[in-house]
Amino acid sequence: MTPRWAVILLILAVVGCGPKKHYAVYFAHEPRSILVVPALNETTTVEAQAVYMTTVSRPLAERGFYVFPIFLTEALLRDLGLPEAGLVHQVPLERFRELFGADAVLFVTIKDWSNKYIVVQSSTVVKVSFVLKDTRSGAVLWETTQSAARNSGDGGGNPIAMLIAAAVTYAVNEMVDIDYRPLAQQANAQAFLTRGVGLPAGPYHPDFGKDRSRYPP
Amino acid sequence: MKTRHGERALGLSLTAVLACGVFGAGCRPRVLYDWGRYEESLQANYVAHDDAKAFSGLEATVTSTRLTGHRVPPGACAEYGFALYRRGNPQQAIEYFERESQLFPESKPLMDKLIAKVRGDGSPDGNRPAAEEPAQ
Repeated sequence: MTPRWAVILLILAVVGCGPKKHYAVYFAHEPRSILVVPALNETTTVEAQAVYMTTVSRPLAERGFYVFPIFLTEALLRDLGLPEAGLVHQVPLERFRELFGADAVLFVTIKDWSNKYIVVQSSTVVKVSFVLKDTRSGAVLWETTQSAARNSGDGGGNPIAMLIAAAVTYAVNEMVDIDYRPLAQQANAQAFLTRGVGLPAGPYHPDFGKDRSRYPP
Repeated sequence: MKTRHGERALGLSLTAVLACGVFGAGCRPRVLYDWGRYEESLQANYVAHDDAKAFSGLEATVTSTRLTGHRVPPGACAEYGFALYRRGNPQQAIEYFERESQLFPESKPLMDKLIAKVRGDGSPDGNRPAAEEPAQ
């Protein structure tokens, strides 16, 4: 199989295989504003949470939602005695409405944030789960889990090229920090933008209210 | 070598066409906001813990959008107002909280609370400002 077909098949797989989602509850509570609370980090990589939090506002806002200022949100939550994501994720939903006036809260859990070596290849993986909840009813409006991976040593199937690439990548990884941001951004884009299973356009997006037919009831 | 290049280019363009087809909206080069240095400033806050860089990034974001006529992204004025407050500039902080709620009415309940806290000499995050502004 040529690399071209591999890429095409991968794209089709990403788009086609997701579980079918239903949007009746979403559209019944259609949120205008989303509060992103600190992500829960289930990995052993401590810095994953901080790095992830810098990636989420932009794609959500570009989807058309009002996204509350995330750094200010975190400071206010700390002031309320909620310094940790684990505590924040336990707070009753209506409290977020009282405190912030938010329509919905996005709870993000970081499931994987790692770099692994498998024989001659290294694989960097970011896996994130998302749950969007309505602050009036507490209902789950939308949820998904997405992962993004980058493999080193892609020498086009040539074993010697792969070996060299893996050696070079290994040396580079030893010297510099691995940049996980592009993978986090990719996972976000897959989650929010994938047609039919992502987030319908929010009120600041020109497609708002016009794209319902793309999202099954 | 040449044919391989050509093949690769064809592969890329095919992929692009397919990606446009399946992602639909993502294909149009439509951006709602001018993000300026907002994400850079978030990285300075979260990862580098560099207050000065975070502040200058926010400042550039809210001012550059004024110049280019693009829209300032949600949250930027609020974050900038909060940064101003922490630097001991409550008056300007209030201006930016007001600007956030004008641009995005969804933020009004929170911005009103923050303004009330700043006016009442309390701090939005429970801490006193770093320094009081000298009396004019």
